[in-house]
Amino acid sequence: MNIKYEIDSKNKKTLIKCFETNYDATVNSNISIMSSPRLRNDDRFAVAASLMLSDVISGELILDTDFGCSSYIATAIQSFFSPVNVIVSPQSLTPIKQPIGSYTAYMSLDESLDCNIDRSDKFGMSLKFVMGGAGSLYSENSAVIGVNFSSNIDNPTDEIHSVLRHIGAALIFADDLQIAAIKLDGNFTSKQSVIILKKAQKLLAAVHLKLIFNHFDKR
Amino acid sequence: MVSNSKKKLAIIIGFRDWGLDRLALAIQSHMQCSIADKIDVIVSDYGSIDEASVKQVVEQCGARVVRTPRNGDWSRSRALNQGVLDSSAEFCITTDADMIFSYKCAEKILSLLEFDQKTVHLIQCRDLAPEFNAQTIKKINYDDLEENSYFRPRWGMGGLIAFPREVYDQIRGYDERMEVYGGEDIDFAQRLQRAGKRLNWIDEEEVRIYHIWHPSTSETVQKDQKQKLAQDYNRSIMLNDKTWIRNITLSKFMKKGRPLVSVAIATHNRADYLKEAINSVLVQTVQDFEIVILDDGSEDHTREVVESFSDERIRYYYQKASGVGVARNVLLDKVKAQYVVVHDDDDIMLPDRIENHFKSLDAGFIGTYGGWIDFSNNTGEIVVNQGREYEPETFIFGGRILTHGSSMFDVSILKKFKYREDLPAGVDFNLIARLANSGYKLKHTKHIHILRRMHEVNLTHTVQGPQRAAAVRATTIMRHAYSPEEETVLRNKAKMLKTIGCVNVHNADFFFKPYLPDSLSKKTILIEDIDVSMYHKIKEKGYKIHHLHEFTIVDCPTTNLNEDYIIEDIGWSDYVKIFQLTGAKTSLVPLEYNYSNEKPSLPITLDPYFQCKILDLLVSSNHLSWQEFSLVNITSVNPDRYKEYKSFNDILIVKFSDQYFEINVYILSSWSDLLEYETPDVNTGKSIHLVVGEPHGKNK
Repeated sequence: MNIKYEIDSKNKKTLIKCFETNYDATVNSNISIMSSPRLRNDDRFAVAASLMLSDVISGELILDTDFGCSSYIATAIQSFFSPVNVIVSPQSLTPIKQPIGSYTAYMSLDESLDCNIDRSDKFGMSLKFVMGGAGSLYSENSAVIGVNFSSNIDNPTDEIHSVLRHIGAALIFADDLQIAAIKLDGNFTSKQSVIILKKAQKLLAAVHLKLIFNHFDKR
Repeated sequence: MVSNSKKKLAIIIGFRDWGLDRLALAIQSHMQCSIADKIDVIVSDYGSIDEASVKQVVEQCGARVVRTPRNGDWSRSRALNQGVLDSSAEFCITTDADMIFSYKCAEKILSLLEFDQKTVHLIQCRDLAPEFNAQTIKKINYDDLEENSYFRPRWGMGGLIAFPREVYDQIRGYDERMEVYGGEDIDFAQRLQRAGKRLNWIDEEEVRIYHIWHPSTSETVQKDQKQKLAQDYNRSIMLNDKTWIRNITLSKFMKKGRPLVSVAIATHNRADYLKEAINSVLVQTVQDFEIVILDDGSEDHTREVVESFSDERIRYYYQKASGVGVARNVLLDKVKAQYVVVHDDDDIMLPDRIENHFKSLDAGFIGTYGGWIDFSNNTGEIVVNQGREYEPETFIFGGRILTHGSSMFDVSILKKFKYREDLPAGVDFNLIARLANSGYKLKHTKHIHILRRMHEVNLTHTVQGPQRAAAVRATTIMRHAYSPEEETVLRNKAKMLKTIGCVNVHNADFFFKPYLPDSLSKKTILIEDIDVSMYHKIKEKGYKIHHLHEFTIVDCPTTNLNEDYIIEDIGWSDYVKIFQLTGAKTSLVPLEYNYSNEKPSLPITLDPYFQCKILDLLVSSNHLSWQEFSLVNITSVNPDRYKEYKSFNDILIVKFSDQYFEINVYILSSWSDLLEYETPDVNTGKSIHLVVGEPHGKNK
């Protein structure tokens, strides 16, 4: 997959264009986010794209950004996709400092604007992505951003990839919002979901972000 | 022993008259793998001459045979399909009869498929050295095989492909137009990608497949002109056909409980119109459908009308009147297919509507739409609406692009978006606008799909006010996504959207009026290629049936097979009855068609149906190859796919009734040529010019 970020700061929009290469699944639409990040971090953008397209990328992952991504991030991405073979390019050996935020973004995937923030957490904020939303709204402790993808899922197989899409979108704004951790609302019960979320945890750790989620074993 | 019905993984091998010793070795490797109790090894024997020997070898090795009688040339596609369709395993591997699998190969593949059903897997084979052939390999020693083999480059060189059965059913298997072999694997893999699956090459030492050495067969194929032509055709399908659901008219892919497509009809107090709507679905060229009807609180005889059909493909649900948005969402929950054709209860669909939807469903599109014809319910007067280009970013700024009732959508996408239930009207526009706003693409089929009834109680007319308000509200919210400058650009772009040229609209009255309701049009049905017993069956039902034309191609006695009949003065119900009785290709004859003489003498008017019939005969007599014929099959061609074809010109002598004629056949070089052509009216002489298209766009 060839990934290109088109960030339109004037009109506050981000378009993530996806150009399929030999082995990717067909993508029916590019990813559209109705806000634009002020702080850019190519490593985090690489990880964000990997999460958002976690179920379609195979073979090449070409990052059409200024920097590509750090080679250890590329390794983390490849490990995230394994056993599906993915080769990330371009890679850079120049050291880049990863930011460390303070806030925990509480994310729920339903379509309402409510979010279960832990009120005792003074560094807690609500982060919401709304399908079909025509813009974005930021306040001190919340952000609501329109996107073109849904959290309304039909089956369990799609559920986890929908979750990853939201986490990826959050990562794009993690620098702006000084996010240190993403806490997912709800419980994850399927074995497959938990395995994939744990892999996402490892990947996010590579870009200094913590992923917190509840899970319990059905057995 | 685990019964075949409980096996998790089917390994399918296509086979015909080709190296039984290699086949035995291959099966042996499967049967001694680490999960032998979980696999179902099926050899699909596509008409081997020595049927008994194949059966004996396969069964001795512990596998089973699915036998298909010899049907023309070898077709790896058809052989593999037969094998897959015979299995009940959740996952499948298709491979060849000369592949030895490593001990852990099947186990690893199964575990990958079980964990992630969004990925299909391929393994590139390793070619064994010539000294490792079926005669020399006495016992499988994997270390020896590893040491004496080398990798083939990726793509198109055989090996295996492993996939969930569900997606195979979804794309309806390997393309059965493909003959011999070559191209079918890549085509299949590409279609899996279009269905949303990624391809993963497994490259692990314990997961190997080894190709048993044998003399090359590709040289033999290259020497055989017919086989070479077939391979070229396969290649053209692979390169040019960007659709992914194929074999849509073949009944063998019909699966109980999971039709290809659901026709969803929401209705309210329109029992009589609904009957015509249902009739028009029942005669579709694609028969793998269900009709799901949601009766939104009707007080008339709607239920009785639906029940009068007694067709198990029709499902009826009743709810208290709740509005069109709710009704459409309930329908989305009820439908079983992956695609939903939206049909309004007062409209009539043309017989090839469903087929055309799928024939244009290319990669990256979530649905297709077509043109529509508005007809006056009082006078039968028609107005053609071909529809315009659909672009997600300009949709909300353009008009007359598409109508919801002539569209087909991926159900899973609609379920995510859902119809708005709080709008009094305009829910259909609102839905498509939201799809567009999210960047989803729809493709025009270049065909007219429906006859849309315009009458006094038309929903779109009676609720003009609220509908307009709903549309304005939806678009205003969406406009927030654009700056004023961007909006101006998009509005200007929307003005420039092209009207799509649809097939046969140049003579719409001629082609489409026969499908109007019975009260507005007299009908004559054309039934193609039926035998004498069927002729008598129809006659016994009291229909006045007679021959259409009789003609043969000189020197080709086998073409004297024209068994086309017509029945005059029938209605929609008769059309359905005859269609279902014969199972033959049927259509309504265009108006003013000259069919009055059973053995007509010149002068005659050659209408397009007759032209198609002649072309059909040209193919069956080998005057045209079936590849070339597909170019001129008016009802089934997507012209964009065939642009690279050069024109074809031939002269044939045809015996029509008792006279001989010369026919010049021109194969169209582009679709626009066909759109512009006019049916020649031959009044004198013995030379009939059968002009199907202008070669190279020149005037003939």
